Amino acid sequence: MSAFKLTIDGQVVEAEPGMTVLQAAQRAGIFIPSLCDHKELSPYGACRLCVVEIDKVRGTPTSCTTPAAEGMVVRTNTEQLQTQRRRTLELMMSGHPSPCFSCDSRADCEVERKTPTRSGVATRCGTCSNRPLCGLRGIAMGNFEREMDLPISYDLSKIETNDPFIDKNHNLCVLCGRCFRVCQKIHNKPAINIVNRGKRAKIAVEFEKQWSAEECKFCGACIDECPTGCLTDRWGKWFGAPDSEDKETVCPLCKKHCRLKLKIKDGKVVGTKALSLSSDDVLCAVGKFVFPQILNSAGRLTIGRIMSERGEQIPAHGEALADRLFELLEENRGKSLIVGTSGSYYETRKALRAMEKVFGAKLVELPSDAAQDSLPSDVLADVEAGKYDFIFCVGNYLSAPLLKKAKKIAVADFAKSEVQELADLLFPMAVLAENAGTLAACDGSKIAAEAAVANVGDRRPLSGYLADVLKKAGLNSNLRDFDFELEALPAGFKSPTLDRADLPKMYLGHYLSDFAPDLLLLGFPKSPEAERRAAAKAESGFEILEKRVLAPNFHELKVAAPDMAKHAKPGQFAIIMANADSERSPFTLADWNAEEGWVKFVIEELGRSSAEIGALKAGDKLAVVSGPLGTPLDLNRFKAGSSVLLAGGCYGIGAIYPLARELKARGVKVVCAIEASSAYMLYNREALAGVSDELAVLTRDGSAGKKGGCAGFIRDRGADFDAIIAIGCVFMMGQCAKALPEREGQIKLCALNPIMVDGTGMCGACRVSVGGQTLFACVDGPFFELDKVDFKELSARRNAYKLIEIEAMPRHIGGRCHS
Amino acid sequence: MEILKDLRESAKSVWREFSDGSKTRILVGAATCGRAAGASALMDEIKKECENLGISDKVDLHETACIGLCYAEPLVEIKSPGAPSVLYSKVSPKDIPVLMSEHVAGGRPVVSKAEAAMSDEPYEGITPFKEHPMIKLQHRIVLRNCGVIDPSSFEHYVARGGYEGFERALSMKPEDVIEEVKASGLRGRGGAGFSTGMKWGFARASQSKDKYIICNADEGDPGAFMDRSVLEGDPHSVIEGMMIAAYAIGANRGYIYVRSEYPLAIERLKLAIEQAERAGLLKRELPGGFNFEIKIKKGSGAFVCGEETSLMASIEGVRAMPRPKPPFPAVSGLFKKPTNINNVETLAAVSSIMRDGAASYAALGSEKSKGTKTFSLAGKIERTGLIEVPLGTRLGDIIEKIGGGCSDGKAFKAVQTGGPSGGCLTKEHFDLPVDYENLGAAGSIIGSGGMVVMNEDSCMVEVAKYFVNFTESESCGKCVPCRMGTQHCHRLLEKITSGEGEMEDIERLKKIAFTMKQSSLCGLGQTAPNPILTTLRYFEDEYVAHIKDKKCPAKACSKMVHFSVDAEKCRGCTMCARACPTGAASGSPKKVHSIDGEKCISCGACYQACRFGAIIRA
Repeated sequence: MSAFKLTIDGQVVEAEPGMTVLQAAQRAGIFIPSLCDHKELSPYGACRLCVVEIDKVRGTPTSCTTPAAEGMVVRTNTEQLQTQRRRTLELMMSGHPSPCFSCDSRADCEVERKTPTRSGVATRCGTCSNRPLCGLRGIAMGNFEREMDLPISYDLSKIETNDPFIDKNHNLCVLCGRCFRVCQKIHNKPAINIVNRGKRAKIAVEFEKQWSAEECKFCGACIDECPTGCLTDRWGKWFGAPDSEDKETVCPLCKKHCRLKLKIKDGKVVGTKALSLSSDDVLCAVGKFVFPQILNSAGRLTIGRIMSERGEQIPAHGEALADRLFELLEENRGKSLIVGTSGSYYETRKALRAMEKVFGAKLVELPSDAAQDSLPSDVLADVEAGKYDFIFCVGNYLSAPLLKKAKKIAVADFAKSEVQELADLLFPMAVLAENAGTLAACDGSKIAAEAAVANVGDRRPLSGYLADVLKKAGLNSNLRDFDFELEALPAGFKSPTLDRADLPKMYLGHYLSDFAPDLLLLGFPKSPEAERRAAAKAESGFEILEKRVLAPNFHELKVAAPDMAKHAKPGQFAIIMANADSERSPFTLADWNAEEGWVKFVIEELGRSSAEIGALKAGDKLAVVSGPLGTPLDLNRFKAGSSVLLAGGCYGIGAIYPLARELKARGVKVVCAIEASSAYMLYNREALAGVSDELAVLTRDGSAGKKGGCAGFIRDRGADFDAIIAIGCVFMMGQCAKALPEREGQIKLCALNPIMVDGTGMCGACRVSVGGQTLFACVDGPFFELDKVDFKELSARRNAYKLIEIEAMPRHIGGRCHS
Repeated sequence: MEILKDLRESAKSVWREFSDGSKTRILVGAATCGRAAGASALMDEIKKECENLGISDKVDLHETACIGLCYAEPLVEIKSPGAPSVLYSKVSPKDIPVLMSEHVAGGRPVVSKAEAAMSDEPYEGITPFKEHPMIKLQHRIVLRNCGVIDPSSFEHYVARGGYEGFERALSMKPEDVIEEVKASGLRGRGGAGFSTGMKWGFARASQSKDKYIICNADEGDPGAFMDRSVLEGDPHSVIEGMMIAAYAIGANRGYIYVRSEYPLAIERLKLAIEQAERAGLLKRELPGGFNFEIKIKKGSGAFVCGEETSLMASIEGVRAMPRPKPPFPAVSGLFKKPTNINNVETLAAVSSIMRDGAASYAALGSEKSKGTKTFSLAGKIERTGLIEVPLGTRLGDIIEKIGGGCSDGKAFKAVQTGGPSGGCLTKEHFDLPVDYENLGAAGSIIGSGGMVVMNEDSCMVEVAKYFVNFTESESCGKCVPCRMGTQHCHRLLEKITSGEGEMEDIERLKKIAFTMKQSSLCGLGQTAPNPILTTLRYFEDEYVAHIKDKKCPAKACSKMVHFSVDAEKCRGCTMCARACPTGAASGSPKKVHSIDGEKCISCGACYQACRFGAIIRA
């Protein structure tokens, strides 16, 4: 069969046998919206967006499932088709948290907040990590209006975080089926599929067991193909869309040496991807999820160190490090042991062989996944007998007691370890994609691995350092004399499979679970250090008496804090740390009871620290709750009989409660206006109705109360009030500020929440600009004059640590608590 | 070609002994429906009584299947030697001693319990079966053996012309068999109504070593039980139909996809397949090289498996979800081989058509809808049951003459035909000849043949909600319009029946329904809005009453009705108080009772319980 012609929208186009109408249209540059179709997967026909009209064909077939045929006459964009698609899309959007598409402020919001807010769970486009990549959003942009006014459903029980690496938020799922189809394609027997029927239908493994309990290999292909953000990479999702082309390299973490693609953003490796969707190129859980986490680990070494005469490790760089290694080898000629690994690049191994020769040292090469101290028995005996005065260890292969047998120690490593404090010399090594080099293929031939990202600090490929050392010994850089045959893998070697048992557990003497704690959920071993840390976790602290989820991402905690409860005043806040090593974060006191000795907080999950707090349950303890801090609201400014508008958004809905209660008790007329993106994000309505004269509910999509936000309410009715206090996110308060009426003597306040450290006016982290003055939110605030705050600066300061915050986003935190 | 030549003679003698033997023959209607009505207990009672009377050796006791008079179950048929058989209805165990001593031992029919006599003329004043009001207008082709033979007897089936159609087919060219079926005008009885002969022609045209015939016995419509009755009552008619179809298209393998909720049907099918295998009809090369085997696949209760691509997926062992066509099953079906799927009733009709010839079948029915169709009558109708009538029979005749009109003397309001995919028809449609074209034009479908009758007490919004609730939970979830559309329709109907509806909701329902019809992937989603659209078409006033007046005209929507006690009529019998689940209805014996509006959940239990009409429903 040969190419043939058909007519699409009046245009004669050519198609090949086997093409669908959609493919023929795409080839001719005619756009037909489609979501479930995927060029590498067989036609599925679920989203129903790609419907077309074809002469002599009944109804409106989907172009993705209809084979193109000679002489066909196709129309893709009639008015009827547009209506049909718009309504199908509306049905789809009603099953997807899409209130942002009904919000009048969306354009402003997305200009101001160029990246989505990093919240615990996605509740709308604005808090969805997938926003920059979303296929559904791509179709809905400029093509979507709510005509039938269908409410959006959102269900907290549809959020699953109990599996390693993959966050699942089925509220976002449109059941396009790409995930299980790609799973089927790669693994033949798919681990996941749709389970249940009707509205209970969702992507899951059989009987809704945990994915980690079943066939799932965590190859991550489903995440890469998910168009909506239902399936996301827990660690890497907030980096957003890559900003440069994918780079290819080789994974050295096990002997299989798979080629893989790296997703690069801001010069960082933010994820990996299989070369193709074929089963030959599939990645294992380590290649997919652990590889990038190792590179970005907070435990990486960046600075070289040399032990001084006084026994202190002094930072040292480049040449100084190489010089010192040369000295140590020179001084300990014939009495040095070099511990390397066959998992290193060929260039490093060759250099170590050269060193062995030049300095008369003993070289031992361990397998890359060798456990600590697993030296050959004769060498081990020699070390224990103190035969070696100097040990140079690449990686974390030797324990402190063993290293201590030598007089001098040098360590080259990519990540911190406990033994490094003993080192007379410490090299920070580049690793994985930071490092180009040669590896052995299964047959002993060579594979080149390319470097994909630049190095930070003193990190260098070890082979570079070693070449400098050898240069001092008079060897030229090609080291040709030390070429050696890479060993072919032994006969009968089975290429590692994707099974957990086959995956590497260690790399360069480090436990992989130290870099990706989610591996523990797959039964990977825990390092002794991690065991010790877990055991040392403090049990003392402030008990959580009650805990409930108010709305997605909003947790209410009632905490035993009798002293604080005695002194708390409206508007004050406290600093909370979930664990002794957590970040210090300020949270407004949402309620308290001096007699019963408790305080309440509404915690909005916006990052790692708040997620850690959100994951706690009643009965758990918070390591630190310090407060009350901040200047309370001066209630005397509000006279009985005067009127106050309290505008609350997000956590502010909780924060305005004590203000309303106190003001109402003083005879002030209190009107509360609360805003949320959609009905499912509202909370506290009954409590607020009980302490206010009027409660105005506003939703951005109009699903409850009036459509709009607090700013609109202020614009309409703000002039009626003697005072306006707005509490919410920076965007909301900024909008309110712009909407303020001209009214002489009106009190206009907001409560600010900048990044804060000590909360007592010492560090200066929380500085804000108000009316040209620099003030500290912790002691001068939190209340400032709404019309004078520089919200732009506040927003910028809050985003100053964005990348670090993303890197620190929670990995597995023991199953987030959603209900 | 007479494969069963030898067998046929012995079968005939077995049948003669059964139908007119020297012993008194007792038949108990023991299909699933009969058993539910107490047939098993009757069997035990009859055996016991035989022993008591010492007549066990003179009695020939058999189970048979469903003869279709569901309202009259359990049924017992007694035939004394040389006399016509008498059908007794609503037989309870305490009736057995009389029936046994009078009719069985004494040869005297018990006229007061008799429903009909299996004779041409009245027998002892008992109406002949064919004159029975429910039977008179029927023409039983598919149901020819149901309730007549012992379904576990291969000989009974064979003696009544069984496998003659297959033998005739085997003597013809496959293409001629297809032509014969085309000529009969038979259309798929599963619901779509596509020409069976043409469908076979497509599968015949596909070239493949392996081809499949699938019998779709996944009867899932609420209120439909035609296929179950046929499988339980005459399993060989379906197997024979499959063999004919297999021969016609060149298939070598067959599957019967049957719901696991039909254990008796499965048991009977298993036995029938074994019998056919033993008789050398299956799993053996027959003259001409035809060699066919049949396997049973039990479904697990997903409504969407009635859709053929889902059904095939289910047999293949993967999740049952429809896939787009093309490719059609005739080209690439089960395990990617050419496949033909027919419904139980279609196949049962085929065996009859091939035996008696296309002409006699085509002589029945209307212009484009030939032959007969079975219907299950259910709901608020006097005579519930299974019937078979020529297509084109007046709807009014079916409801009023065969079904006897509404039960309890209530006024007829509507009949839902075609299950959840069908629609409602009203009294105005009584003159409509029931066939594919006419029902389609009226906004409904024949579907698989369910007819659920609703009376003045049925709220049509509630009815639409019931069916949409069904399709909502049975939607496979694959395509957006069906998954989301059913959810929103159900929610909107719930809103309306709760008294919170707005007039805009009617427009919304229409828009969603239209989108579902236009855009859904399979028949489930495309037809799911039919109950809404037809109730809106014929009963929009009821919707409006719910929305504007906040009233349910049928007083069926619990959130819109209030119950109180009519002091004049209340006798203080305490029945309402005892029936009330929440303690809202209360009072002292012999004193006027009352209903506490705070506690009342408007369930209507008191209304049902009161024998004096003293509960006011408003």
